Amino acid sequence: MSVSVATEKRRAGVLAAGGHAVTASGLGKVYGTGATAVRALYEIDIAFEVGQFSAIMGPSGSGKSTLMHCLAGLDTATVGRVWLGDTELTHLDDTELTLLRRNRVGFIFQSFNLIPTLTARQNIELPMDLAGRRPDPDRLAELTTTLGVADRLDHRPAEMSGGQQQRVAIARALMADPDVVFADEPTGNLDSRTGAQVLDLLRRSVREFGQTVVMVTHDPVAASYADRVAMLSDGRLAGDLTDPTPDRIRAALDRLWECGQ
Amino acid sequence: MLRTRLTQMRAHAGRLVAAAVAIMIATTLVAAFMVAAGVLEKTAFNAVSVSHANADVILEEPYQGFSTEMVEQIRRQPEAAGADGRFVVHTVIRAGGRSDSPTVAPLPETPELRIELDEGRYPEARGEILVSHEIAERLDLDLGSSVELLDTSADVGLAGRSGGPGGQPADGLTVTGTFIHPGAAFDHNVPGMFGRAAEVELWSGHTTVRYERVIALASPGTSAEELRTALEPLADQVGTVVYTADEYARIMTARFTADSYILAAVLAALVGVALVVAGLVIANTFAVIVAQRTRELALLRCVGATRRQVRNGVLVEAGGLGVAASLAGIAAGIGLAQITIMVLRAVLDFPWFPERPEVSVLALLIPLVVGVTVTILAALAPARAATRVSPLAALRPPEPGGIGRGTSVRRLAAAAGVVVVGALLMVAGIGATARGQTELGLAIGVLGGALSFSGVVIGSVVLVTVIVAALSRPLRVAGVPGRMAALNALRHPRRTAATAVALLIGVTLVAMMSVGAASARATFAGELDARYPVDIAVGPVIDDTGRHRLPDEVLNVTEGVAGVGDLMPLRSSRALVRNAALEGDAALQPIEAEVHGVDVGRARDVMHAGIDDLEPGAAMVSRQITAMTGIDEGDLIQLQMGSQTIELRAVFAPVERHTILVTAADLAALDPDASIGMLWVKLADGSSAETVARTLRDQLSLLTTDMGIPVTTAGATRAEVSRVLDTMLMVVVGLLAVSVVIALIGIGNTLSLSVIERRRESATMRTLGLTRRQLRVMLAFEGVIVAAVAVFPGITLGLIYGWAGTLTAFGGVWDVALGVPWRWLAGIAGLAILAGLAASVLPGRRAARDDPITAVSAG
Ligand SMILES: Nc1ncnc2c1ncn2[C@@H]1O[C@H](COP(=O)(O)OP(=O)(O)O)[C@@H](O)[C@H]1O
Ligand SMILES: [Mg+2]
Repeated sequence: MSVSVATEKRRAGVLAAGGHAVTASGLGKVYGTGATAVRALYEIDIAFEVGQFSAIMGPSGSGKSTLMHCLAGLDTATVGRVWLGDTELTHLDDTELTLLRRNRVGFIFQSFNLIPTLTARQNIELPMDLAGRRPDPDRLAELTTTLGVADRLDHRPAEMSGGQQQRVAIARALMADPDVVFADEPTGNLDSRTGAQVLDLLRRSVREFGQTVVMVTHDPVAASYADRVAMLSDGRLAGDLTDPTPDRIRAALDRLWECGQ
Repeated sequence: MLRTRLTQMRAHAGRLVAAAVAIMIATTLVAAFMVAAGVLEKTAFNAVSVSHANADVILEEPYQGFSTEMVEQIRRQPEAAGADGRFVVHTVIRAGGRSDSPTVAPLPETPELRIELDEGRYPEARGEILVSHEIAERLDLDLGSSVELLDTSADVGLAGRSGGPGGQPADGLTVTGTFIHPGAAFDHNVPGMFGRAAEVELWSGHTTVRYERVIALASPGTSAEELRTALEPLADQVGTVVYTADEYARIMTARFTADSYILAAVLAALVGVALVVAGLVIANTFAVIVAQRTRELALLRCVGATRRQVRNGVLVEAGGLGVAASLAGIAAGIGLAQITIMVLRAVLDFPWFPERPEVSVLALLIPLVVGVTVTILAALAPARAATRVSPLAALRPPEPGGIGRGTSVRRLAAAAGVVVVGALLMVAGIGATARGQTELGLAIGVLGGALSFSGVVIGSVVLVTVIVAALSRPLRVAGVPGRMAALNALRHPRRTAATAVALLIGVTLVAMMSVGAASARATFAGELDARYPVDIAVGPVIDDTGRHRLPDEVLNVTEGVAGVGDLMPLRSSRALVRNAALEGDAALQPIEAEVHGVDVGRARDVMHAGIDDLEPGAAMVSRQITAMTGIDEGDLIQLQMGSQTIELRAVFAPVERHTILVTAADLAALDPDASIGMLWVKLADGSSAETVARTLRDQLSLLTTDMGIPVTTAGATRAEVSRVLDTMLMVVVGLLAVSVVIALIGIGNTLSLSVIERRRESATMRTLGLTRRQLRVMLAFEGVIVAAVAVFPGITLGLIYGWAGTLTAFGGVWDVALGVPWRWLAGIAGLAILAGLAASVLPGRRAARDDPITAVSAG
C-alpha cells in the first residue's frame, strides 16, 4: 500500500522525536461545574507508538471515550496537553482542529456513521473531497479489494449489511492515509464473526501498511487483537499490557475489579 | 392521552414555534382586516353625518331641482323647525399669488343646519366666507385673510344656463371661519366654501335659484320619522324621496363601502393566500415532526395506543397550537389596528375618525375559527401518516432520514393533465374576452389559472427533482457542501416541494402582479396618448363681448414657466352646430360649441397622439355632440358663426364635450377675425404636469386681468393613472410580502427540523473534516435550492399569468401591449434567493453549535 512522500517525511520526523503518533501529558477532563461536576479523567500521561495497534480498555464509565475524544481533538481537555505527532492540539481552534482531523486523523464509529445519501465510494472519498485532495484510484481499489467491498462501491449504506458498512467505514478512515485512526467500539454493533473480520482488517492495516490505530473497547477478545492494551479505571490509568491475550486481559480486568472493591 | 400530548407539545415547543408564528401572522392579518372594515364603515358614517350637521331629514336631487318656494313650503311645515337648500357655484379664487377653484354653497339660515366650525365665526357681513381647512392651507389663509374672487359659474349639470360669464364677482372676500371637509371620498356634495346665501345666489348668475338638495331640522318633540312622513307628499310632487339623516348616512356609507367592495375582495383574497401559505408551513411542520417521532409513536402503539389515539394526539396538538397562535394573532391584529388609528388620528386630525377600533364579536371569533381550522386541516394528512406507523418500527434500529423516492408516474400524469386543462381554459378566457365577453373571459381565465397552478403544485415534486438536478452541476463547483446540499434537498422531495410551494405561491403572485402592472401601463400609455393628447391647455378664455381672446401676456408668461417644452396657440371661435342632413322643422335645436383651429403641421410637436384624421374639410367632434345632433361618423356637420356657415365631415375623437377641432384654414373660413383663445402646452421631458400646471396657475393669477384663466392638465391624469397603478401594485405586493415572509419562516423551519434530524450525520461530517463554516454553507445552499425551486417556476408562471390576465382583462377593449418588468423580476428573484439564504442562518448556527462528538457518542 502506497504512502505519500509528505506523510513519509512527517512520520520520519515523528519517529525521530520519539516515535509517538499521539501523546498526552497530564490530561484531565471534568464535565460540568460545581455540584454536578463529573471528573471523567485524572491527569493521564500516555503515548501511542507509530505503527502500533493499541487498545484502550476499561469498564463502562471508566473514561475510555472521553480519553479518545481528547486525543483525537474532538473535545478539549480541562487540563494537560495533547500532541498529534509533534503538533500540539491544546491551543488549536475549531477550524484548525477540523483541518487537522480532515488531513491527519481517521475515525471508525460503533454505528458506522456512513452518510446515507452517499454511495460507498462517495463515503470513502468524502474526507479527501473535504480536504480538496484528489482521491487516488489505485489506493481506493487496493483498499476496497483488501476490505472486500470493491463490488459494493455504488451501493448506498441502506443496501449493505452492518459488516459491509463497517468495512466501508474502515476504508473511509484509511483512504486519506491518516497519521492515526481512532476507533470507538468498532465491533459493538456487529455479531462476533463479523466483528472478528473487522478486527483482523484493522490489525492487517497496521501490519501491512504501517497504520497507527487506537481502539476503544470493553471487549477483552477485541482488545486481544491489539499489540498493546491500556487499562482505564475511574478515569485513571490502571495497567498496560503488551502482546495481550484474552485470558491475560480478563485476568487484568479481574484484578481491577478487586482493587475497586 | 390529552395530558401526554400537551406534555409532549411543551417538550417540543421549539419545533412548533415556526408553525405558530406562521399561523399567528395569518390570523393577525384576518383580525386586522376585520377590524379595519369596521373602522372604515364607522369613519364613512361619521363623515357623512358631519357634512349634514344636525339635519334630521334630507331630500335629494330631484330632476329639476327644488325651487325657493318649495324650500319655503318645507319650512312652513309645523313638523319642521328649519330647512335650507343647497346648490354649488364653481369659483376661481386667488390669494397671495396662489389660486384655487373650489365650489361655494350658501350657508344655511337655520343655525342648527350649519356645518360645524373648526375656528372663527359664521359669515355675517357682505363678502364674508367660510373656507375648508384644505383650501385655507393651500392658499395660506388665516381668519381675516382676504381672497379675490376671479370667476364664478353655476354647476352646469343643474342650472342649464345659456352661457356667458357668471355673476358679478365681489371685489374681495374675507375669511371669517374654517371647517373640516370630510373628504370627497365620503361625500362629494360638501363644498369647499360657504358664503352668505344672497351673495352665492348672485354669483350663480341665475335670477331664479334651484336647489339640488334640501336639509331640514325637526321641530322640538317631533322625530325625524315624523318629519319625513310630513314631507313625503312634497317630495312626491318633484319625484324624489325623503331620507332621515341616519338612513341617508347609511346609504352613503353603503355606497362608499360598495365602491371599496372590489378592494375588499382583493384584500380578502390576499389574506386567503396568506392563510394557504401558513397552512402549507403547518402541514410541513407536522409531517416532519411525525417523521421524527416515528419511534416514539411506534412505542406508543406497542404499549397499546390505538391508531385513533395516535391520530387524535396529533390533531389535539394542532388544535392547541391553533388556539394559542390564533389568540396571539388576534391580539396582534387589534393592536395593529389601534396603533394605525392612533397614527391616523394624530396625522390627519379627522374628528369623525373613531377613537378606537370597534371590535365586534365576529372580529374576534372569525380569526380564531379560521386560524384553528387552517391549523387542524393542515395537520390532517400528517395525522394520518402518524396512524400508519407500525408498532414494529419501535423494535427496528432507527432509520436514517429517508432517501429520495422516485416520483410516481401517476402523479406526474395527473399534474400534467391538470396543467393542460388549466392552460386551455386560460386560452379560452382570452378568446372570450377577444370576442367582447370580458366577464365570461375573466371567469374562465381565473378558473384556468387556479387549475393550472394546482397542477404545478401537484407536480412540484417533479419540479424539485428537475431543478435540483439542473443546479447540482454548478453546485458541485462549491465542493462537498454544495454537493451535499443538492443531495439533501432531494432526500425528502415532498418536504422540499411543500416548502418551496409556499414560497412559489408568493413569488408567482408578486411576479404576476408586476407583469400585469407593466402590461397595464404599456397598454394605458397608448390609450392615454390617444385620450389625452395634450399635456396642458391654457384657456379657452372668453371676454366680456363673448369672443375668444387670450390676453397677450398669457403667451409670454406660459413660455417662461420652467418645464414647458413646446407650445402652440390656437385661434378659437364659438359656433352653432347643426346636423347638415336635417332641414327646417326636423332640425334639432342647434348646439353651441367652441371651435378651435389646429395647425396640423405643428400639432405633431405638442401632442402625444398624432391627429392624422384632421385634414381640411374634417371636424373632430365628441360623441356627446354627435349624440345631441344625431350625426354619425362621416356625416356632414354644419358650423355657423354669424352669417358664415361651413360644412365639414364629422370625425369622432376623444375631445372635450363642447369642443370641436378643425384645421386652422377651415377656422379662418368660418371666422376670419378669430383671435387666439387657447394654448396647448407640451411638457419638457421629465417635468411633472401637476407642478407645471400649478406654477402656471399661480403666475397667471398675478396677471392684471379680471378674467380667470383656466389651466387644465391631462398630464396630471396621466400621472394619476400611473400612480394608481403603482399604489395598487405596492399595496398588493405589500400584502403578498406577508405570505412570502410566512413562506420564508417555512423554509427556515424545514431546515431547522432537518438539522435536528440529521444531527448525527452532520456531526460525522464534522469529525471527518467539515468545518463549521462549511456546515453553514451547506445549509445556506439548501435554503438557496429551495428558494430556486420556487423562484424559477414562480417567475415563469407569473409572466404567463400576468400576460394572460392582461389579455383577459383588457383584451376586449384595448389593444393590449405586453410588458416585462425585467428589473422587478430580477429583483424578485434576487430577493427570494437572498431570503432562502437568510432562512438558513438560524438553522445553520444551530447545526454548527453541535460538537462533532455527537457522532461518536453511541446511539
Ligand atoms: N458529556 C458529558 N457530560 C457529563 N458527564 C459525562 C459526559 N460524557 C461522559 N461523562 C461522564 O464521564 C465519565 C466517563 O464517561 P465515558 O468516557 O463515556 O466512559 P466510557 O466510554 O468508558 O464508558 C462517566 O462517568 C460519564 O458519565
Ligand atoms: Mg464509551
